[in-house]
Amino acid sequence: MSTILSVDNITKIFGKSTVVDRISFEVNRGEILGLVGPNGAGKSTIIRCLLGIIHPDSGSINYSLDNSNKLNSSKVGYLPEERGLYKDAKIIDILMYIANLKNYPLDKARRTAEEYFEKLDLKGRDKVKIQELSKGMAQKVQFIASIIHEPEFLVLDEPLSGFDPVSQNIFIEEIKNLAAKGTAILLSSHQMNMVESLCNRIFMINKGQRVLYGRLNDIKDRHGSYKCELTGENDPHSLSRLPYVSRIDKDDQTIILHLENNITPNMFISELPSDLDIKEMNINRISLHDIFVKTVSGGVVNE
Amino acid sequence: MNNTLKVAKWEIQRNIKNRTFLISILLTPLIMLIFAFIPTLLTKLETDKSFDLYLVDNLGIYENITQSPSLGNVNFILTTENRQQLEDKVRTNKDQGFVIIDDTVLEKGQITIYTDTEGQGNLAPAYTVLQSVLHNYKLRTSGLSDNQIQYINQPLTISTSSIETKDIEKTLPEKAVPAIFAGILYFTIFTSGTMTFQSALQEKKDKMVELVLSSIKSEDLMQGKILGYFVLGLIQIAVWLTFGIPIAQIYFKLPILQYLLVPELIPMAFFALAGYLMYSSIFVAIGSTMEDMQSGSSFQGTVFLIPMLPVFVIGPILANPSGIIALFGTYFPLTAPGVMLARLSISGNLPLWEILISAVILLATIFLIMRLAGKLFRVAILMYGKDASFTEVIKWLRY
Repeated sequence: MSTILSVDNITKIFGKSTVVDRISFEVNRGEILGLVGPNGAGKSTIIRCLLGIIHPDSGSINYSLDNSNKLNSSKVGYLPEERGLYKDAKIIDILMYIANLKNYPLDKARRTAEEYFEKLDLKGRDKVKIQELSKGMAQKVQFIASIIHEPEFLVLDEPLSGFDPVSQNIFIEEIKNLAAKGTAILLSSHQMNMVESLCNRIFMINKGQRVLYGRLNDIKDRHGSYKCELTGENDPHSLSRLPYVSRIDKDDQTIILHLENNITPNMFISELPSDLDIKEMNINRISLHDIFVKTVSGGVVNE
Repeated sequence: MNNTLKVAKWEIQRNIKNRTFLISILLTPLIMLIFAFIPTLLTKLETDKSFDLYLVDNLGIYENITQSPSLGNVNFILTTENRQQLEDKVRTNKDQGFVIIDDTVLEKGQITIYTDTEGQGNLAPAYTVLQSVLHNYKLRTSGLSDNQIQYINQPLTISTSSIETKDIEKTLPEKAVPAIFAGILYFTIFTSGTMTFQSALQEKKDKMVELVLSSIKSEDLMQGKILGYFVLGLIQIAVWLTFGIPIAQIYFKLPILQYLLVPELIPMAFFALAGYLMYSSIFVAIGSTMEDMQSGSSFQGTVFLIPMLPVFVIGPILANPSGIIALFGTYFPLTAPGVMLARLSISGNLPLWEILISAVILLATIFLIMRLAGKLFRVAILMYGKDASFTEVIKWLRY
């Protein structure tokens, strides 16, 4: 796997606040790197720096595109979180304009557009104006706009927001396809289940600083704990005295027992008292969502 | 293709295909024509009716009156009826009146025309005719000969002429055609500039900025918009001239093109272009600091007053083309385009050095303003959520 983008120690300061603080990461061909973090963590600023919309105050951003380490915007695609297109323009005109700005051959772009129209249920609507489309339809057009020039590096910011579940599945497949074809993808989202299902590696940022970076499995191993969801008639106090339980949360009928690090489910089950009332029990490795909440808010996990 | 050109091409195509733009091109001159001609047309309708004016002539001037060439629609009818009879006659009829001319008129210096109602617009020719005939009557009865009277009536006109420049006598249309053209140019500068403002604002509203800026530099986007609306302005002028010149040529029977293609056209074109570059840079940058058009309290609206500045100084400049205000208007960059367009179109013999100094100051200012506008645009176009305040704009200019 070859590296397509390496970010080295970038810092961006707006006025008195350091929005991005000595951030380094890499994105490789064919992988999907998840960029996660709470609102205002600095994700958008990082993305804007990567795309050359703004420049970091220090540090360097190096691309490996076309034997040059500079940003070549015609090889880079971007789906911004702020959704919108020229409302009074026709779908095909906008797509051709973007392709033109990206120096992509227009006849090729037209063919690609047709393919996606077919795939995304937009066939025959190429001359429709954006303002006549539903919001979801317009977002599909915007997605096409971000990939029409076959980018080698693609930034997707909340790619699924606003789509119905059926469309979401189509786009998840499409994103996987792009990665399988070798596109390097940076995916920023708050939808942790999607990040978990799509991304090979995760970069988590909080208050401008890196808090987690690595393969999803490694991160989970490092956080290495399980949680047990238990439904039954039990006294919470006695539950908290069970062996290996570090913390408990109560959620209506269900009680969530957080296990200590490095405790496997087998060890936990073998030590359960016989008088425990179990109506339902689920033991899962903690999710990215839990890790996110734990890391960002300093440990209050409540699911 | 260069990115600036791509953006320009996009803006041009978008607007050309847009019905609003086409309609505004055709509608603007139509509205102007309507406003120019409807009032005259309506007045004409009113004054076209003929008016019967009964004249009791005790001085023997009836013949002089009927010989006058400028009687218009007023019919003088000689009568010997007395006042009461005339009053009864006029009261029952519209567009009738009477006037009694005798010695008391001359003594008091007051002629009174009696009509059924007050204002009678179509009576105007009667005023002038009666005045001049009675004036001549007084001169004649004072013992002057016809030659002497003609001599006295010869009007005196005063004009000033500069000894420095060879004064070429120009007819009114020769002066008016370039002035009207200058007016059209200035109007187009303003509308095209306003469109760059709208376009920057729309870019933000449509939330396309990030996608576009991830492909090209903000300078390309800004310059592309300025260039695009410049071409659209040219198209607008071209359309107006292709229709306007032949129509004016036929209607006024004047060689419009010949009046237009004078040497002054070159500096006029320069100042129009410079004005456009300056105002549109300001407009596009300020437009990028706004969130939407409806926010009325913002300071951004005041930038539209900048191209209006020449209006304040143009009166004094025409009154005294070499006065201190004219000097200020010519050299102060924000007013220079408008003032120079006006002065060039009117005088036709401005000193070359004045034109050159004004041009140099203007070019230096444009260079500075475009750089500042580029800076402001780069930061402001990415800001969402609200209109930038004046202090924010100043802060961004310093980034």
